[in-house]
Amino acid sequence: MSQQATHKGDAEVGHLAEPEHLEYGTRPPIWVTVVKWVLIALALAVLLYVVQELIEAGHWLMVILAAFVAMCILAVYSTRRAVPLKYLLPGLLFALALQIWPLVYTVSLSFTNYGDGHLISKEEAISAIEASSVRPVEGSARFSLNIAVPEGQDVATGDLIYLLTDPDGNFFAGSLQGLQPLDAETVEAGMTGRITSADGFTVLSASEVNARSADLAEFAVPTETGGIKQIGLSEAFIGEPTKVWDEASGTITDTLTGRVYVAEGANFVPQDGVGPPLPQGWLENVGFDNYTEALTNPTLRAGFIKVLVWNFAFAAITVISTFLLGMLLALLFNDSRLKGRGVYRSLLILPYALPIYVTALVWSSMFNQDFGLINSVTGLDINWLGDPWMARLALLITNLWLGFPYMFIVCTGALQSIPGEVREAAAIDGAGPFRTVRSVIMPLLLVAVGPLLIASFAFNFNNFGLVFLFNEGGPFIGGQSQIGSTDLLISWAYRLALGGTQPNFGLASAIAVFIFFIVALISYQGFRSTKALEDVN
Amino acid sequence: MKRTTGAIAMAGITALLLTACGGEAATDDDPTTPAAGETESEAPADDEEATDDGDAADDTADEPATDEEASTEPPVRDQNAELVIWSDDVRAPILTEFADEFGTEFGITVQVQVATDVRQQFKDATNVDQGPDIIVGAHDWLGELVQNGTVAPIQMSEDVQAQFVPEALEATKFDGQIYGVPYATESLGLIRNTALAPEAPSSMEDLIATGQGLVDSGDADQVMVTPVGQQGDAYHAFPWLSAFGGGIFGTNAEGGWDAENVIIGSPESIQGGEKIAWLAENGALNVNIGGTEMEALFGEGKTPYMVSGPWAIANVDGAGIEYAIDPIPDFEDGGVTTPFLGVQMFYVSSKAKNPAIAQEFVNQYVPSVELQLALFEAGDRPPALQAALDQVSADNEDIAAWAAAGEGAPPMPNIPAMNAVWGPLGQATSDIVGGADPAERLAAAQDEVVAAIG
Amino acid sequence: MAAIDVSNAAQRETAPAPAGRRKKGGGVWWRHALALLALVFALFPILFIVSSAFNNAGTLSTSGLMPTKFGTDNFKDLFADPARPYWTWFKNSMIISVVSTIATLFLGACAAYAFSRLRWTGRRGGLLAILLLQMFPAVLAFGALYITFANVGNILPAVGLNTLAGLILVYLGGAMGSNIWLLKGYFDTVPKELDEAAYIDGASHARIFFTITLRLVTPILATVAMLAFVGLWGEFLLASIFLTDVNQQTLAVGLWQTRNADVNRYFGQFVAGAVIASIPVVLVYLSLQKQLIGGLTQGSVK
Repeated sequence: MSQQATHKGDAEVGHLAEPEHLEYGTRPPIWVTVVKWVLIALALAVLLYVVQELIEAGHWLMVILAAFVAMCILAVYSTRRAVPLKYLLPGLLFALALQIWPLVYTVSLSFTNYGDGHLISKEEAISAIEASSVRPVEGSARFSLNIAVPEGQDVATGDLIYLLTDPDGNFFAGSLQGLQPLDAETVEAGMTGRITSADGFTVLSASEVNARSADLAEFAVPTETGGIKQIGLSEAFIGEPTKVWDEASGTITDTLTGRVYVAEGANFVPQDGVGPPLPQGWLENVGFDNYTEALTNPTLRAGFIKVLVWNFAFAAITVISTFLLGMLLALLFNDSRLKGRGVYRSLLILPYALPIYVTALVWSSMFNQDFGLINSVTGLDINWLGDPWMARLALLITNLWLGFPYMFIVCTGALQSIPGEVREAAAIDGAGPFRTVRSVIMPLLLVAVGPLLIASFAFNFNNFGLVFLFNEGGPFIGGQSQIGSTDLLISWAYRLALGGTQPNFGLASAIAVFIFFIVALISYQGFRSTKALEDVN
Repeated sequence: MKRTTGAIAMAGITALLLTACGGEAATDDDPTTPAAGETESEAPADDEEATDDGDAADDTADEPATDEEASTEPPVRDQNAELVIWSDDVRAPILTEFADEFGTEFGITVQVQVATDVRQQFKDATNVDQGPDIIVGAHDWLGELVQNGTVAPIQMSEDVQAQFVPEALEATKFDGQIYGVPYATESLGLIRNTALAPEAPSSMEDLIATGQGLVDSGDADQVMVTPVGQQGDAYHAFPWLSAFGGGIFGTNAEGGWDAENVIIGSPESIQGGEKIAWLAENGALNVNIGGTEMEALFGEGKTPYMVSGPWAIANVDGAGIEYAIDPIPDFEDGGVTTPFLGVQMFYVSSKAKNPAIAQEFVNQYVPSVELQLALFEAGDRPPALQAALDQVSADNEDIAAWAAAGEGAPPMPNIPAMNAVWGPLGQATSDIVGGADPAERLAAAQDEVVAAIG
Repeated sequence: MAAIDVSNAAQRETAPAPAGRRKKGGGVWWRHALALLALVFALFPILFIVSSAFNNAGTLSTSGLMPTKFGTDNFKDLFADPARPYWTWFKNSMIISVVSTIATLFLGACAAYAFSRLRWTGRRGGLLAILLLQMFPAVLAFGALYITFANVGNILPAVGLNTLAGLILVYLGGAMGSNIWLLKGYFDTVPKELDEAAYIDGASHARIFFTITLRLVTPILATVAMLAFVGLWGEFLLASIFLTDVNQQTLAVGLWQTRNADVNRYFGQFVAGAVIASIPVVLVYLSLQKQLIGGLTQGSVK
């Protein structure tokens, strides 16, 4: 899309052009212009298609949005203005739709009680409660069932009729009006007593029944105590809901126990306060409750400082150790005299090539006190995973192993931009190898890699996957199971927010928002102290 | 998580991702859901090649209706099928045959899809109205499913109910209502290396004596293995914990689990906790043994006994170990070890597009000996239908043994509150194995669980 | 092309480092020694994985390297398992990783060019925003992505849930990530005089970008390509949410599920699959190595 191949430079700088520069003075080849417009047209065509589908679905807001995007594309690429946008727009659109939007959405969930037991609306919850409370009427019979419509009516639209046979062999036709006995003479029944045909009715085939499934879901034959409802396609029973919603009072009554439930805190709880709430709750806005909870939860307060400190140490040590090792290895293999560098390098990235859920598992096994390789090779008897400090060390070693190939690749790439003369100059000035690295190469490298270190810090700060795979944040010291010695804020928050009877995703989101601000603030500081920002200016 | 090795626990992660399922939730559930968290695979095993949606059409070739539109790519639910079943990869291929037969009989299109993590994906997909009509899963998901309003009750007639193993049927109930049709059960048992220990131990004391003898003579390294790990494993610790009448929850008037009556810190549970400490002292439990170490040790013939479930047999076979399966032995002073029973069953979605047909399938097809036998072939678990179980047990010693091992076992609690139990209780058992005082530690766990249940 | 000269930037393989000179005896042996040490650290955990892949018992033992039951059953089972179509996963992973890598690279390079070479308001803020965005715990936003794509799928089934195209789109959302910084940092080291000279010669910005800048930054493009490819190849958290149908799954998801299937039952197949899955990464590295290390000379415009 960035095919903008015009050459506005021509006119303005033409007077500067020396004869040998004229090769650029010609207009861009025709194919470039063609490709550019084809791409623009393609993008617009795709958007047009999307808009069409959106209109069909009736999402007018999205239609407007899509049209806006189309206009942006046209405006940016068909004119000569807005050059930076020509390069940024595609990435920007993706980032907005797929990074920013999900983030905004997630943050919006932190103002709700979203989570298990609170995924549906109140209406849905009420109907779920009623539906799951339907029980057979005490002592009632089961019927054999067939489904029909009155003769002469269209099978696709006619009034539904249950053709029923009770256990005593009596035949009935059930409609919305109720149950009518059928004369045995007018009915043909199969071996099990199930009616196969009846005078005055057209029996539906299975696929005809299937076509009416929406109607059938609503259909029941009223009786004094409840209703006759089908079970599958060949059986029916008399059932009644045992929990009944009363719209006027806003309560649900359990007809079996007589208990009344009232809505409170997004659940129906017993009016008398005794007993558990009904399991089906609903989604609702809770304002800043999750934030208040995050700030006042006793477990959160108790462990916060400890976890935070370790979290920082973990992220910082990981970044520093992986960077140093990656850089040293990159330097080591940057020497053309070292034979077999290609092989070395490709083997070194193997830790990066295997999925983390294999390697974290292997490392965890190797640190096993009784059966792990590390103790058996070194002859030590260290309780790697049971001792808090050793577990932290083990996690750091594991993460060093997992992370150094990344830094190795990055540094190898970045090193290519450091002119060889710089080192030679340093060497000629008498700098030793150590000094050359520290005072010459590292600063240069840091300019290129600095922001990545910060990104790596952020990633590791939230490295939920590793902690979870390696040892679930353990060990848990002091007879509790809430605050693990290697827990990061995110893994700890998860356990806390989602470990209860009603896991609360909203609370997890709220905690994540706090974590975000903490990391962002720290990173911003770190950012300012590196040279990276100056370079930006 | 607990019965799972640390890594399975990881299943939790995905779970977390999506919604709230819950750290522990995902993981733990796996106790009964070994099969569940897992996998993927393809639905109709036969057409793995068919990369996309096309398959809907092929496998259910019988179907007249519906296949025209190839244009819809596979969304989560196959919109072309009139009945969609989600299953794990182990059972899907078998299920497909029965589904096709059912489809032919009723003239509809049936699609069996393999979901990678049925529990989580069912919740997510149903939440956006793209869920299936029927899922195949473990009974301990039930509380969560009811909580989210995603499953519909099954009105099973009494004579059908009577055909099932009573414990299995019991597990399908929540608040007195049946929500699933069971097809298999599973529980822990004692897997014994017959080369090392030819005789079944008569009691845990006997087991310890034999095991220690083997260790002393150098024939074995460990008395017994079962997963403990640094974070503990409440599922595997339950047989000891409950040996004297203790456990996790008391029952309410209706016979269901009562989340408000936590008995982890009860004197009976503490008595069980003391047995855990005793087993640890005698080398039968070890915090450094988790699922991975357990399998390696048993597979290498380094221990005579392993307490695990039917899922462990494949690897024991692979390692070429001769084995026998027995119920977990009791204690000589009267402690009766009973594991949790896990039950696999068919659920009907409350948002099923075709509830009548879905109900027909689970009510009429699942309680058939044929289908139960076929699913047994796929999963190597005892069938839940008594007639099928009798038939299998007659000529399969392993299955008879697993059924015996699970006899009288209480179904694992299926109430949502279990989500708050696995972590604290597992940690407590691990700490006891590591030397903590059972009374104090279980009391602390009780407090944590009660606080988490709220 | 008068003024175009990149000689100072072009020399990347450093001459023998000063350190080497001081060591007696050529000074390479200690580099080999260090390299070997690094290799041991990098590889010994992997040996266990390989050993486990060849262990018919399907278990992982980290106390010894020799498989209990040596054999290739795991591989046979892996390729013959109808419920777990390994090569279909492999193909899906390839499609997703290659397409996304190329697109990411293109989007990233364009953006980096704008950040490095062009001057506009919001440039600095934009760079900062890109970095800060990475700090939000991404796992939490996956649920939102799922719900979003469920809705997208209702309107545009081709990019809904359970489609490779949909997942590729999601991955492209990450193109504006920290890689931009890496790219921009390198772009900055390419002498501006090159652009200016071309500009003076009448070249358009697009021409400069495509014919001069991109060629000069090949090493970093290769680096970013490598990072993106590996990241995508191994990504399983998002993919496992998006791809529910077994035939649409990627290798990472499929393997992960295999590992979890029925507790440890398929562990052997899982490790065998993981070992094979690591090969493409190494091959990609090998094929990019020339560009990673030697790009500048070929790219320089002389």
